[in-house]
Amino acid sequence: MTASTAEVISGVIRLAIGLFVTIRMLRMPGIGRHSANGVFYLFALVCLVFAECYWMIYDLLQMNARMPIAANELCEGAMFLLLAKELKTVFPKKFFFYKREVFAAMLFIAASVVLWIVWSGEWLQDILGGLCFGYLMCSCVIALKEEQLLTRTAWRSMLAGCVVLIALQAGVQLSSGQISHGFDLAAYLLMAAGEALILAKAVSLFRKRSGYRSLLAISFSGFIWSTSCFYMSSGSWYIFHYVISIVYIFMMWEAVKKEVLGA
Amino acid sequence: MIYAENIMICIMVPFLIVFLFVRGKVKQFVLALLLGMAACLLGAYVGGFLGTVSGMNANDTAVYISPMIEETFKFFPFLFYLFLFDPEDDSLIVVAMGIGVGFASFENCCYILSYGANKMVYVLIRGMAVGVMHIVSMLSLCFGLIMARRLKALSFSIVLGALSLAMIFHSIYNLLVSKEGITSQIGYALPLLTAFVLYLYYRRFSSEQIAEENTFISD
Repeated sequence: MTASTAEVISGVIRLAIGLFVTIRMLRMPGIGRHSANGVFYLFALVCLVFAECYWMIYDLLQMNARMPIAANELCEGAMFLLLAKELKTVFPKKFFFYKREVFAAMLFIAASVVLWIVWSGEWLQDILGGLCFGYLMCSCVIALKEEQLLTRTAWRSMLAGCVVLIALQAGVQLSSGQISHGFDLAAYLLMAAGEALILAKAVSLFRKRSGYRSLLAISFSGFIWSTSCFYMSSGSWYIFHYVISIVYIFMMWEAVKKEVLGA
Repeated sequence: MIYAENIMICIMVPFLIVFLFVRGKVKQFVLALLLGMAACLLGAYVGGFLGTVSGMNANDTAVYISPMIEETFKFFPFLFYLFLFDPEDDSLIVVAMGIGVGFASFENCCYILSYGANKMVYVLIRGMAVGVMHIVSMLSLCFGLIMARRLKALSFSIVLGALSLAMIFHSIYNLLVSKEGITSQIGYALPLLTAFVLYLYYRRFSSEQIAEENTFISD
């Protein structure tokens, strides 16, 4: 199976799962009956389904053509803002309560946006997408801090990992040949390690049947990390992170369901 | 080459006269229709300008730029009405439909004057696909915002989400019809199918509203 076929298959799976979860959310008793809980997630899912649908049609009709700025990127940006809003309904604290962590997240996003622009040359969509993405990432950082899901050592390790990741990605852009390939491989392994750690934490919280606040914090953070990883990957690594993001769509749904049903 | 401004004046004047003599929701509808036409003209100016600046050809401009510009221009008067006057749901639906109808009618007039109306198939496509698409995108956006308002979830992210959904629906339509064959046929059918789904939703929405009002009266 070629990488492009696998990409199409994983896209179809993500679209089908997005659609399935959207329909289940619409039929969920209690959604929107008493409060806005879950409504933002529902809107975000609809955005995800449409953006995915657009991608599939684009791939089918304009294969191998690089897409200029298009509606699906605005839709993805809106999806990030809606997910952030869903988190904000549960964790309403302002960003300045956790200045250091939020500042570090902002730096990571700023560096990522610079790297995206260097890689693609599409500064407008990368800046707009980066702003929405950054807002969601800062909201996730606040949620993780509020729930105290990570120890001080884990926060420090994460910070170090992100700094090394940015340095490796910058190395990929600045070097060539075998050295660039080495940097690339190291960055992929680091991202996969981060992915594995967050997924393990998420699975353990779900198995322990933790409260909905913890589940929301970890599943949304996992989703943003896997999205960030597949934005920085290509080939089979892209598919790997993409598939993990599908798992997080399910986890986010479970967490939102728990929140809406008040379980 | 057509003179779109002249066509707009020609179509608008009778509606402006009508506007003076009607009241209530009809007045809202006529005003929204006029605003929809104006949005179409402004959207064409800005879309054409951005298409030239970005160096895209006509097809790429139609697929990538036009949906974003047109939906934004249709959205502005609607958003202005929603936030400034905080109207009832019914009035919002009337205004959304008026803007959609005005936009679609003016666009169809300009296209038919440019390319002629001698081919029945072409005229039907313009009316039943493109025309319906503008109404469907406005209505779905309107229903989304009404739902969010009822749930007290109307915020910047919801507004942006609803706008981006209208844009992407329009983009998917333009993308599908940009290539000949089965995809364009699916594209032409898409607005009518969506209109049918929205109609079912609207019926359910109306019956729920009536039930709520009855409950309120009996209480």
